[in-house]
Amino acid sequence: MDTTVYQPTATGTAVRARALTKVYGTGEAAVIALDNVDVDFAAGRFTAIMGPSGSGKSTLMHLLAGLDTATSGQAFLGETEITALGDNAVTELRRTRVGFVFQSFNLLPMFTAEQNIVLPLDLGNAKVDRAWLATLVDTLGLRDRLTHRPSELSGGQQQRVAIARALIAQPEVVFADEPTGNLDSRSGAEVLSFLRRSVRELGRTIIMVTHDPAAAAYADRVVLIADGRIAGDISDPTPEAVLAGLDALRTVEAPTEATR
Amino acid sequence: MIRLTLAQMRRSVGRLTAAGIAIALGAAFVAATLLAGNAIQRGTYDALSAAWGKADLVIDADMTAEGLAERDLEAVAALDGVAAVGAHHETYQEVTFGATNTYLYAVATKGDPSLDAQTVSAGRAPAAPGEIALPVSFAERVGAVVGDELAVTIDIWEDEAYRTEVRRVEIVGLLDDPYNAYASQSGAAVATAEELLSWNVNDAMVSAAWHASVAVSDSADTTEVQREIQTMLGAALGPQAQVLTRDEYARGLAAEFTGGEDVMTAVVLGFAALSLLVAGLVISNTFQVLVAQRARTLALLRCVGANKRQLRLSVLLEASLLGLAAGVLGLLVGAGVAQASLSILGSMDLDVPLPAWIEVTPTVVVVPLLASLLVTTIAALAPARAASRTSPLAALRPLDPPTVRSRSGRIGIVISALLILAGIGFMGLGIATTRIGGAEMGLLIAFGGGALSVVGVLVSTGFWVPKVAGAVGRLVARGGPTARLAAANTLRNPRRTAATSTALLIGVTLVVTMSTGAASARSALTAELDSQYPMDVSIEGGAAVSWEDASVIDASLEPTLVEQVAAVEGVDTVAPFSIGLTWDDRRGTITELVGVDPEKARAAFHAVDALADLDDSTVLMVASDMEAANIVEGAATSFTLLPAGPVPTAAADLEAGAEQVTLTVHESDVAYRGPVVTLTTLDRLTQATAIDGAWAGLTEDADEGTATKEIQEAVSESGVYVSGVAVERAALERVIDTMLAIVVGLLAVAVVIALIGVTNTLSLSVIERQRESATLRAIGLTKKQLRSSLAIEGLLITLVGSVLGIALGLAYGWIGTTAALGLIGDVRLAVPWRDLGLVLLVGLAAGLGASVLPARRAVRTSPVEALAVD
Repeated sequence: MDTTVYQPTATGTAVRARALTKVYGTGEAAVIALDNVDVDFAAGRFTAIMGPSGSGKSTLMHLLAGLDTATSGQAFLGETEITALGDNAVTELRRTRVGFVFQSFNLLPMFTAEQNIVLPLDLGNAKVDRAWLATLVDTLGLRDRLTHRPSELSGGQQQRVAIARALIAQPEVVFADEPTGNLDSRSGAEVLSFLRRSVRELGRTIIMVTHDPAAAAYADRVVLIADGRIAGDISDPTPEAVLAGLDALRTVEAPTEATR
Repeated sequence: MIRLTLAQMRRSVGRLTAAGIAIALGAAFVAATLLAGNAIQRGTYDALSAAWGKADLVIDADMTAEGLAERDLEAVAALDGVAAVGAHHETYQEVTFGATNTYLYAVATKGDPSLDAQTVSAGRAPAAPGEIALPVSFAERVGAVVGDELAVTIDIWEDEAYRTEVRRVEIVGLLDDPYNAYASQSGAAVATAEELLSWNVNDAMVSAAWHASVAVSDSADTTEVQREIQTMLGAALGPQAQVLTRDEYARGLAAEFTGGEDVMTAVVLGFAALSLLVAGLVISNTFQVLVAQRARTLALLRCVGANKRQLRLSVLLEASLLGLAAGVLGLLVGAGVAQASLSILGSMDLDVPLPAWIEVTPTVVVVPLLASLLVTTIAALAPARAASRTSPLAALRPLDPPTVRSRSGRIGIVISALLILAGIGFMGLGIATTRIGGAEMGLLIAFGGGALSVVGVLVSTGFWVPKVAGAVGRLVARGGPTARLAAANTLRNPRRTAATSTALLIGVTLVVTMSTGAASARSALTAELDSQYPMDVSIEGGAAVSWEDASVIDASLEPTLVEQVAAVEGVDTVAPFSIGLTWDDRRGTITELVGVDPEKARAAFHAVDALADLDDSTVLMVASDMEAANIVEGAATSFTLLPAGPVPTAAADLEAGAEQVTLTVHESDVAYRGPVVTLTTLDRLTQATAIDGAWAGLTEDADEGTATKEIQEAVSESGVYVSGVAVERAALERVIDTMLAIVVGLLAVAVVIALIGVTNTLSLSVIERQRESATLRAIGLTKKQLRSSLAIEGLLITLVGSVLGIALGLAYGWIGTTAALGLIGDVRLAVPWRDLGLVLLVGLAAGLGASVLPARRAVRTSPVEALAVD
């Protein structure tokens, strides 16, 4: 395994949440998905957000990435307050400063791998940095696959194309939502290594949502979330440490559930 | 299974609605056409049988030897159930009132007021010999009032010679013709049968009764009475005597006018069928996508035990329910439109006989419903088969975005190629047939060929429309990322894009074919009209040349009259002409020449260069005259001045050394009494020239009707004859334009349906690509970009359909015109630029418009959905 430790050029906080709250529905049917969350994500680090189903981890990511609007509170990308921007500004921000990796890859079936990779630049009519593209393609082992369409690629290859797409615009932060959820364990491990390499070698910042402790163990830090609140924080996690953390959550939950 | 089908329909109600509207429009078209056909037929029948008043039966003895005798009529009147019988007598009679001497159409009273078609508006109906009632319009024209006397001129054959007698009759009443029974005769005067027959004692055609009307008493059964009279008259007069109901009689008359078939309704129904065909394409498309979208549900059903047949039947059931519902809706809409049109037309007080209410017959109800049901079900056959092919395993696989596989098939290519080739062959044959004289046969063959090749083209669209769309798409893709996205999306489902474009292509092709054909026909007919009626108004002094001594008899035009005509508003130029008799040396006979001032005549002529070759050394002749005289273009011919006194019969009778003029012959379309020369030439050949008439040209913006009428008034005192050629020409042009407008209007329905199809396709694509759109939004596509991407997609589809349709339509329009008008002469292939531009504009605007609703749905979707797992 590669042990090079990359010294991040951008130090400090990449993403911040302050009193971030999201409520779905109104009145009796209101569900608090995210309850007054304060959290910081360091630049140049690989952070995993973990929690049981319905804990609010995906909602947190959506709000931080500007995909959804918060009910109250603030989310910052660098010094930009995302929660204060209009749709066009947020779209522009997503295009240039944020990258996404989805669980189901979400490549466009009518475009080739290369066209898919450069799509974010294309949409903004920006010029493709050929050197950066070459670096990404080589790092992700996609050199022979550039002219293929998604239907001609394996799941792992598709996800690697998706990672290249997320990194092509050199965004400040990449959000990954269960990136290994649709992959077998070998492809999953491969994708996670690539994500970690892009942090260590390419100096990227990655925030990954997952419910798999083994996947979370690839991160530099794990933020645990339960019932819409931050419930724990593990640095340099191992699968065992993450499992223990999750167990702790469960024991916290158990009495709550019993009293209900 | 039915419950399941209904549940699925509820889930897809939006998509089904759009498809339903398409089919409902088609059904409405059929219903409205049938209802309009009924209304026109009813109106025509009423108009044709209006002369029979309120008679229930008409006795037609036209084909018998001697018509109905008095005793026949008495026998009919004596029958049970017969309320009244009246024999029909009619005549055209010369009458004089004051200074007016004219012919008057008159019919005999039928003895019972219910059998008379006209109503008395002043005075009373004639009851005894010596009395007459006149149409109001006639009385007003001659200035007659009730109580005046009218002089009737009667010819009596006596002692091997005609003797004229004048009989004075009293005007006892004035008549209105509320049902237009005698509209073509401008009303009919009425006298008793005894009076009317006394005018024509020698004319068996008038004195015999060839028709009679019968009123059946209220309590009797009309059919029964009809049979009784038929039996009785059949015995007395032979089988030629027929007893018909009013409608039967009218149908017979109508058949004489239209050639037996209800051509108009058939043609319009043809257009309606095309709309249904287009709707069928839209339906087929919709169901394909529905099935693709439900792949998972269908697979689950297969997993839990549904067999293939059940799945297929479920789709077909859904289609038939949709077809039936849309058919009912279409029927209602069609009936509403037909009734509204009748009400509007009725209130416009036109001279068109139309009933006030639509007549809903079983045909009107059944045909649209059945058509809609059949088209929808047939269109769903292929998707239903696709549904039954769903593998149960598909339920266990992760959900793939639905794809509609494009069907390949060499057989299809071969079939369509054969059809197109055969069609082209037949069209060529048709044109050739027209050229050698069989215009009707040629048109028929060409039409068959056209239909064949259209089917071929339609079958083949699946192969080449995607390619064309691809080429256009690649062009468009240069316009930036949004356009590239749109082009890529358009090409993902080549077959669906092709089907959508094809639906539009059919409509556009037909509209353009008709409008090209009409434009070509119009220019051909305009040229034809220009040569037949080169002047706008022609004024003739009724001049005739005496063939006894070559002197001009009857009044010539006073020169002042020409000035009066020139002073009329709207008259641009007046060119007087003269007529003279000379000796045609070539043919060895006397001939009439027309002399004009070339400059003035050219100015007065209607946009035609027929007089271009006219000067003092030429004579203009029409082609047929040249052929008869065995003379060719550019040949020389000569004319000689006639000697005074009797007209010579041979060249030997001519004076020696008489003035002789040699002229060059030029062919020209100006057909007017005789060869045309300049006034100078005519002067040399006849020596005494007066103005015998004049041609007037109207200004561009003049109203033909008003100007012609004013010219008529200006010269009314002088007894010259004014013929308003411009009026005729304008009327003819209006007929062509109106026909075209109606046809294009009908075809436009097909285009509207196709555009619904475009919207439908785009909506389906949007639904299907929800996740993709969300992904794109997540990685930085703005709402505006998403919207314009869809707009470009809509534009691409409609652009391909419209442009290909225009190209095909132009081709078919020209071929059709060549086949139809090839005989008339050179066919001018016109390009109706304005119409083409309009079609393209409508297509593109609709493409943009079609994307609005789907785009709104697409941008409303939050990008979060891209991250949602299912």
